[in-house]
Amino acid sequence: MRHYRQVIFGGSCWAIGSLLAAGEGEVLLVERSASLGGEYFDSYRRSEGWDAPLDSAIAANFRKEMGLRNMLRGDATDFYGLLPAIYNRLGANTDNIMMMSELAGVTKITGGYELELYNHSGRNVICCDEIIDSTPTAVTRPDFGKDSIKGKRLNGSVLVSEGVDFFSHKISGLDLRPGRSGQEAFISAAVAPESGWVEARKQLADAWLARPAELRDCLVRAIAKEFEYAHKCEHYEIDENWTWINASIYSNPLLAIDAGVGAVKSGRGAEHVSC
Amino acid sequence: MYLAELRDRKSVKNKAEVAFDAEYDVVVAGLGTAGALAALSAAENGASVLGVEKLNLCGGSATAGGVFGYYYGVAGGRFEKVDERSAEIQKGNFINGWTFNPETKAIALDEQLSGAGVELCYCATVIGVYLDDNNAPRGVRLVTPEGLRNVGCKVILDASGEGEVCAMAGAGYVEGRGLDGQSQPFSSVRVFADGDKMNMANFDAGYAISSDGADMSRAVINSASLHLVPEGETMTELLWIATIPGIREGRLIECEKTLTFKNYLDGERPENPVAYCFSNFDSHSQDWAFEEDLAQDWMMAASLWGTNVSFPVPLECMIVKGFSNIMAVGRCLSVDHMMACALRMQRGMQKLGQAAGTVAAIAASRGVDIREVKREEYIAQLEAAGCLTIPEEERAVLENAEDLKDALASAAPGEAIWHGSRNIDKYGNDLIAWLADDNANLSRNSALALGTAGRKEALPVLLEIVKSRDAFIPANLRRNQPRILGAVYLLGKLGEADSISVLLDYIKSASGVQEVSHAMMSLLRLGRKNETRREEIAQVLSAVVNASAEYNLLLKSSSKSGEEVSEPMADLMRLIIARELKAWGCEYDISDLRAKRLSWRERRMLEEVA
Ligand SMILES: Cc1cc2nc3c(=O)[nH]c(=O)nc-3n(C[C@H](O)[C@H](O)[C@H](O)COP(=O)(O)OP(=O)(O)OC[C@H]3O[C@@H](n4cnc5c(N)ncnc54)[C@H](O)[C@@H]3O)c2cc1C
Repeated sequence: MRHYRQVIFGGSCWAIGSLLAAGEGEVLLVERSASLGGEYFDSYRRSEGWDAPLDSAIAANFRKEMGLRNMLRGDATDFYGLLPAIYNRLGANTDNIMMMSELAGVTKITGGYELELYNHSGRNVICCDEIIDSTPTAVTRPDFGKDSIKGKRLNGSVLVSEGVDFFSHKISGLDLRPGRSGQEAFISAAVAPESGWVEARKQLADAWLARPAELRDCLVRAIAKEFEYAHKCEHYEIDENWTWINASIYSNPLLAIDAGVGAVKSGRGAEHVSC
Repeated sequence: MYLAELRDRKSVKNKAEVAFDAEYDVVVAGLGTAGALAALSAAENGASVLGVEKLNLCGGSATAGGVFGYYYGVAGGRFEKVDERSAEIQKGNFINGWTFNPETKAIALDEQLSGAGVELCYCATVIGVYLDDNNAPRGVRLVTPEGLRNVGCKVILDASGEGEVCAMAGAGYVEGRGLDGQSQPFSSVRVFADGDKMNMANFDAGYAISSDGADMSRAVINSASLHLVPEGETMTELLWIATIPGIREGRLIECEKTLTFKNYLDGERPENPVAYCFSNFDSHSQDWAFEEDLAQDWMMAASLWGTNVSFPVPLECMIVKGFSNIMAVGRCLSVDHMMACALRMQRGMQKLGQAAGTVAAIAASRGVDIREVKREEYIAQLEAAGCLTIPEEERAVLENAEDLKDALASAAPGEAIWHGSRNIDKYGNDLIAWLADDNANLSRNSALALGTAGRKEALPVLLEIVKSRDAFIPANLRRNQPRILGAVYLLGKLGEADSISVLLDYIKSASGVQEVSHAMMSLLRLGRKNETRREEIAQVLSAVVNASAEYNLLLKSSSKSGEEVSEPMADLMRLIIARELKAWGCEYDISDLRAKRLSWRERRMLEEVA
């Protein structure tokens, strides 16, 4: 059975920072989907403070990459553009990442945990000393995950038609947020924490279809592929050396990466408010 | 009862006793292009259906995968109503997609599947199958957002794209081509807004083995990095990077009937279709020298890549061999590697999904195996829905020798080369006579037709094509191949010793993967038949592949930050040579490869050769 010092669940930006700081060998990142950083990028979560101080060279380099590709434009930062740069940086490091991998069970064993994982090759049992769960739904403890969710939003990107003062209008059931350029705005529907994807998409679409006539030429460009979650707490000790962390409390993905790096450097894991 | 699951890519069965927490008539694993229609049709035919989907939406490659356009196929089928509803939501509210908007298609599928009573289980993955002693399904094991679940069912429709559930159960399958097990290249798709339209960039991103977890991890990360633009450029604002990898070909499950490329080319058309598919043999592979002969006859000698062909697909291509009530639905259906190039497009997949769901519901309600459902019980419904509309092939009609001659002399001789080679008894003498014609196209294209038919009379002209470094590229429909490569391939196929010196000469001055790989494969074939020349062939080939930079043995597989991304092919070529030389009893040192980071297919071949 393959042993890792630490297994991080969830390909969050925080986890990516942690993995990059840890280097090869001892840390494994397990993500159930085929995408990374979904809590920021694919949720269209509002990101700000892109010029905030960063402690780590890893995060600072990502900011440099963004600058070199004209993504940092004050209020209209192209947050999504950072994602290919992250994949690019990870390119050489894929042995320590298991994408598209489901967790079927966690068993406590002497000195750590045994994890039953499934991916395209099938069942694979590994063990580790420490588990960090950085998924918004706490895949390692779904019952806790469910309880920890305070709120949930489904967002969408909108093409604002020329001459329309989008933000001077109100759309019932939707919050309006600035987009990456004058042409884009985000719409955001607060959905019940227990809402599934069918209800959430319907709620967003219904609200949009009922928008004021003045906005009829504005069109939805895309619906977020992940929910934007708000949690009741930032950190939870599930068991000994088994921690859930809220990976989306940072104002932008760079700060999340920076915090992930910092957690490794300090050797203290995530420093947050406990539940 | 047994629990069957995959371990290290192989099916493992263990005795199991579980209490199911729910029972359904039909479980559909994967609610993608085919699976969504399968679940919908099963429910509309009265079945209780659990739809299990890894992603958080229906539509798979068509929605989350960003492939929002139909590539050929013909209209008709239940999916049209989904698309109509999608268009209704989209119009004036969402930007346009290509054929459809993937966001509104997902909403329409949510609506129609829920409306029909399908229980949607999103963000959930089937990880095991419960089977009885007769290989009939008893249920499935799932990871869901709430944790593990075991649910019972009478029929399983595996619409996972990868045939993953069939593989868990222990069904037979083929994967990739014969030479190196390689499937077609996959894509990473990015979706962006282009004014008031949705657009996507769909480019090949190298190779991935979709049945291997580690290789898939590597592939999705590396391919997503290809979306990075060069420094100094401004990125187009992305809407999303596909949340499902763009796999074109994975496991192809062994079913009661397998449709092969050879069947098609031999004019066999299965009886009792449940749907028609329509496309060209849209192979994304570029290293065609490593494909099977028939593929090379079609794509290299005749250069017919772009020709659309229509296939009737019977239900038996989805009924998994050796199992009761398990069907392989979608692109994992029973076809061979070549046929998989044509039989994967969305319209056809949706129609086949509809057919599978309809039959599954009938089997479940009658408590019988799918094989016992009679065609009369469902065919009228599929016919009325439009699944059986026959697509019209627009192949050139060559009625007599005059037509053939004109076409062979033309700039677009592909159909004539093919027709001539396939009707060699009728046209053999004409083709031989035309070899001596002053019209170079007529003479040389006649040689391709004769060579494809295995006729040695073609040899002098084929040799001349190579010696003269013929530069002709036909103007057939799309992706035309230089005539010289067709000739190089056919010289190997004909196996005559006279070709060896010409090809040795050719390969020494060759450049790039295409020229070198075709000549290499032909020389290896010639060595097989001409024992006395083996040493010479081995020496030249090893010198060429060892000088990979000089011969530019890089296959362009994609681009990144404005620069070409290429697959180095020299190691693979060395392995192919090593395997052949081993069969000849010759030494060929590849020990240095053990210390290298090899691709999946190279590792596999190294194990085989070692
Ligand atoms: C890049 C690319 C471009 C293409 N371009 C075109 C085009 O322009 N036009 C066209 O007509 N066709 C095109 N095709 C072909 C076509 O889109 C696909 O072949 C077709 O959509 C496949 O349908 P499917 O139902 O078999 O698989 P998919 O649509 O991929 O659905 C499979 C579903 O199963 C789910 N799944 C997998 N495993 C499990 C599991 N264990 N448990 C639960 N769920 C699971 C997946 O999440 C997915 O949703 C393209 C394909 C690709 C990859």
